[in-house]
Amino acid sequence: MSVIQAVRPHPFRHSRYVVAAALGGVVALLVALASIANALFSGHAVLVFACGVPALALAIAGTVIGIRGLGARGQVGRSERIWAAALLLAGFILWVFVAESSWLLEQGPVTVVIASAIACLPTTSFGLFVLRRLDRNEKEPWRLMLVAVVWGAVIATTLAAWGNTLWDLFISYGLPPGPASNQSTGFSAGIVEELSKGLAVVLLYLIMRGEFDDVVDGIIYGAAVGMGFNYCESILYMSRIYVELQQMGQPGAAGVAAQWFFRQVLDLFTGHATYTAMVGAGLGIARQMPRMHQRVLAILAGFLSAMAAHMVFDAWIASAPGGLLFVVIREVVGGGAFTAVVLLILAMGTRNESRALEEHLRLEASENRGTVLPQEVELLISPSRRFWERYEVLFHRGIGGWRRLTHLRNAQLDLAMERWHRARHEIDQPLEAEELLRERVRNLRAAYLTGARPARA
Amino acid sequence: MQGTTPTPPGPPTPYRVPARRRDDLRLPYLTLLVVGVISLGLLGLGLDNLVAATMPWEHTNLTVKVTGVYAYDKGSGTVHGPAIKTSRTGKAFAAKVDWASLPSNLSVGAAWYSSEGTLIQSVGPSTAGSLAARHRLVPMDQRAPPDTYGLLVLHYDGGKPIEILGRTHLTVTSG
Repeated sequence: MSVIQAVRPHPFRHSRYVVAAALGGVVALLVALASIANALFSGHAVLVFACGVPALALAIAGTVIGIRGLGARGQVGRSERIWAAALLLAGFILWVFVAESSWLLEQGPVTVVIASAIACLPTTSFGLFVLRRLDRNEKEPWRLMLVAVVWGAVIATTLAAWGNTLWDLFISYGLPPGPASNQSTGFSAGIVEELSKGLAVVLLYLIMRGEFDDVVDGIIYGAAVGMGFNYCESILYMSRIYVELQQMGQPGAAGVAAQWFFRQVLDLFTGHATYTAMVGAGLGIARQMPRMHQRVLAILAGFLSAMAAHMVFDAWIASAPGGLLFVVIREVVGGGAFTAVVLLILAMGTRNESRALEEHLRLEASENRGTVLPQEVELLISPSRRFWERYEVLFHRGIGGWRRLTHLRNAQLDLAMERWHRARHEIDQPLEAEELLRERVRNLRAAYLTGARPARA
Repeated sequence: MQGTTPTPPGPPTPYRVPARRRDDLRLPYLTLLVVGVISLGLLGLGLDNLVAATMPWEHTNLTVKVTGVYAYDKGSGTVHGPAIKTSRTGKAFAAKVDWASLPSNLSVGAAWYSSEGTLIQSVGPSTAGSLAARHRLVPMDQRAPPDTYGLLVLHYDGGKPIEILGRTHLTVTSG
């Protein structure tokens, strides 16, 4: 047994933010260049310049203010988060105009693009719901999940579109059609798209360390980015196939339905979600590895796995000929193999997380601090018991009671997670932060029992 | 409602935890490393496929001139009129390639591809000498939907295209 005292601020904390800022700057520059290139080549110059540059400015401002807001508590933090949400929403709406002018609207009629977007919403939402269910112990905040999805749908697709175009121009253009061209396309998809999506998980890893606890969180964030990317890509391919089939005198709607089935049903979990989850697994494991070389190796292995999985699918599986049944089987088996690896790592991570939470909840309860009661431990370590408790409270005490109880349970789990990280020397916040968390749990308990608003810790 | 009775907090006690158990993460870490090594092998296999498909050591680095694309009469098998850059759906066209500028024993061919890379129509592979002797055109006489079609003149080895010797394109519009 060892006595853990307050740790000094982590020596790498500030360099993390510098790396994150540098990466964010590179991404902003690339997206800005993409806007300018769109303006020059898409034939929608005025619209792109009018919307693209302000959209970028709004997105950057919203991200910066949002990050500050997420880190701050109290009224200031709340105000900054509202501002960030408003700026990001405005930027997103403007970007949609840019995307439509330069990309989606060139693929097909507006009605087909909109119908495709609507058709993909329920399936993608279902995918995100399943991801939340897989995150059994300490669920990630919806706001960060949505940031991940939006990055995948908006920023990663823009980066990937231009990256793939440059790859075609400099590499695939000189290759003869057939196996060489297929292989090059596979490499392009694997390398360019996984880097574009993986950047989002890297930024979350660097900036939101408090909400990026372990391999489970990495997999969930990664899969969410992949779901967002898959959403936008599905719309693109559904619109494109419609036009192609119409031009050949065949029913475009059948092609749209087939694309929807493959991208939103068959490959919903085994495609982009799996690839980026592998990047997330690498970053999640790196989050808890004690030595630098272990962290680098884990991150490298995550990216390599994602690139290889994507390359194998695009170059070897998707381009192979065959009838519908064969196509379904090869996609499920070929893509599913990598998904099975992700699920295996997720299961290992969840088991570790459960054990650690149980251990630290029991320790917290044994210290009699009024945060975790001994009789609460069994309930807190059982996701199903927590669910039924909330259900019962919702039924008897209404939505207010349900919300207060949810906040209390989440704060208790956050506290146990904080203790776990401190015990492993993985935390760069002072011990006072943990005491504040305890105070918050006590306030939330009082609020739950009295039905009043919780006092601020 | 379970276990929600507040208990008076006791005096602060030292924060004790069991000795560190870094080994918890060993299994997922090693699993990911193994998958990473396998992935590196798969990427290497992909690179090997790419090299095998293009056979860079067999490349000639020659280029061939595509004289132009012209309206094509399927009945007579000849072209007529000036060179064109666009055509309309249903109108046949054909490309003229300067086969004679290539070594006569070189295995070559040419093909029209859609913008998605789908093969539409081709001639060859055959020796450049035989194609030159027959003044072989590369026709596109199928009813093609609107698209930008690319003509590629290819160097073959063992029946596989390994090198692009020349190219041009033509846009087909509806109508």
